[in-house]
Amino acid sequence: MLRRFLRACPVFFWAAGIAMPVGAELPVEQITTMAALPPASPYRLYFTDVTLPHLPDGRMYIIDGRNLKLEGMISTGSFAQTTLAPDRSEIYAVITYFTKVNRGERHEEINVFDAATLKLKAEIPYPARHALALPTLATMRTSADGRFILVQNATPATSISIVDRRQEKMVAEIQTPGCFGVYPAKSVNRFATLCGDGTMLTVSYDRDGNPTTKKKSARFFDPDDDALFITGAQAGDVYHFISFKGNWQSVNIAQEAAVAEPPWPMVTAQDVKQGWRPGGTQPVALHVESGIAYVTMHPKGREGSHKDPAHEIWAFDVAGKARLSRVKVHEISGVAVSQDKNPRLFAFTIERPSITVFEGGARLKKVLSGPVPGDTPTLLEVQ
Amino acid sequence: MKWFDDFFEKQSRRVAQSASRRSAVARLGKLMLGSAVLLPVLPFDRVAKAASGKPKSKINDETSCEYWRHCALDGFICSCCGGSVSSCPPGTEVSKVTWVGTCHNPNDGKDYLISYNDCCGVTMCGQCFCNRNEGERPGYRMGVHNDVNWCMANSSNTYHCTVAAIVGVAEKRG
Repeated sequence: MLRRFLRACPVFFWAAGIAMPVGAELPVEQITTMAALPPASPYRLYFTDVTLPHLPDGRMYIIDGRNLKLEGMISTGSFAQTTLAPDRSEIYAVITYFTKVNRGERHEEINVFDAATLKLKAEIPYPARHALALPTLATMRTSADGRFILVQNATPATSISIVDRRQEKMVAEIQTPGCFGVYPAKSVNRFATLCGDGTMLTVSYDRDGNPTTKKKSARFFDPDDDALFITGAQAGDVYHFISFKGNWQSVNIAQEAAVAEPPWPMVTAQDVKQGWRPGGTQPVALHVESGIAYVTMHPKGREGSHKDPAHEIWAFDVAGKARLSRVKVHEISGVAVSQDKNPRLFAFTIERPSITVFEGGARLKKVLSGPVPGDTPTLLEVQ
Repeated sequence: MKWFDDFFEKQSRRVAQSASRRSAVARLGKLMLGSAVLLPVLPFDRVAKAASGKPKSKINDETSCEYWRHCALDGFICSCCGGSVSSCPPGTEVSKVTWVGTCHNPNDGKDYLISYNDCCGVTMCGQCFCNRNEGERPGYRMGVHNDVNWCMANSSNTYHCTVAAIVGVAEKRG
């Protein structure tokens, strides 16, 4: 009896400073902190959760996409927007804090985390006006070289701020009335934003982050009849958007004013008859090298169904403007794809969060699926 | 977490949208942008299940997501939180900015402009979650957008619940 008690209570002996009796199986341990995450695979996932049931307690989960195990997490306060450095060395989160948790003075800052150790590296001051929005791929980005962090603001008047990562300060704030979403160019210091009059506004800036030009495109979409989702897929200086009714719209932002290409339909007449439409918070992902895109689709679509989760994921050959395949899924609200030679597609649910992993390519092949932590995650990025 | 389970079950809904309502929303959006009175909406966005028909009784039940005024509400219904369809619960304050939807009232056949003010200053109510998106558009149409926290301009940005007050009758097109 005594022996059983001693086995069950090593903590008692440790706490009391009593040596374990002869014959004890386990040595006393020293408690440490893991110095860093394991080396990243191309399938490391960054899953941002605004935690609607308890808003002041947002977080980002870092998940190993090979087995869906949690590798670590960071705290992101209230209504944070997040993004990653292009080389994935750092994680950025623009965070709101109230002095008395859910009231009091509103403070904001951009937290810079080391992506290897998950330690807080820097706190960049920020004015209290970033968009208190559901996190998406379009609310916070970096410039292509990682030097500048671009943040969507809403008071609800909209503007976009340019923050110098190196100097750790906001350099400029550009008023963007009637526009929303941040779409940085690849080849030059420039970003565009979608506007409610069916155009894009493009802002160019110099090497220090000071804006130089601000130019509107011609009108190319109809926000009343067939609006564009705010989440787009980037390939160099081209952004690919999809519309509520299932049209594909590519826009080139390499020049001072954006140039739209003619849209093409992702849905056939038969699909339209069955009401197939895109939906969700992150409805499109593109594997850049192969030019294959994945879109979350639901049937019986209608006005107002643009946030409905998907029943299928459709794969498209973007250059060929053709559907390659379709696969059945359950309640998927968003997709992200790795950019390596053997891409994997990660499809997530918001309700009772889960991730389903597919081998990419023209025809998706399911690898695994399982629950992941979270309350209401809306944004998924891949290593 | 019961609310979380419940809210997904309560999201099967569908209200057909007429051209007249869409155009009313469009006009309203222009009006709001033109007058620089920026509109508010609510803080989240939930995923809805496939739509289905809605029982008549729920169309007139202000605690139901199927209630006719809730055609574009995204959040917790204040009628379930100690408030009413047009009043915030005790201890909260009405949002200074808001967004507007256009909903069809099947009882009189008219389309109404509905202001979805948030109630602010107390932590989330957690009762009767509802997410419908008729006429809702992304942030580039901020006046008809519901994926942001419309308590953003109040002294406390804490979101509690959402009302659905009538602010006018939508004009019929043509």
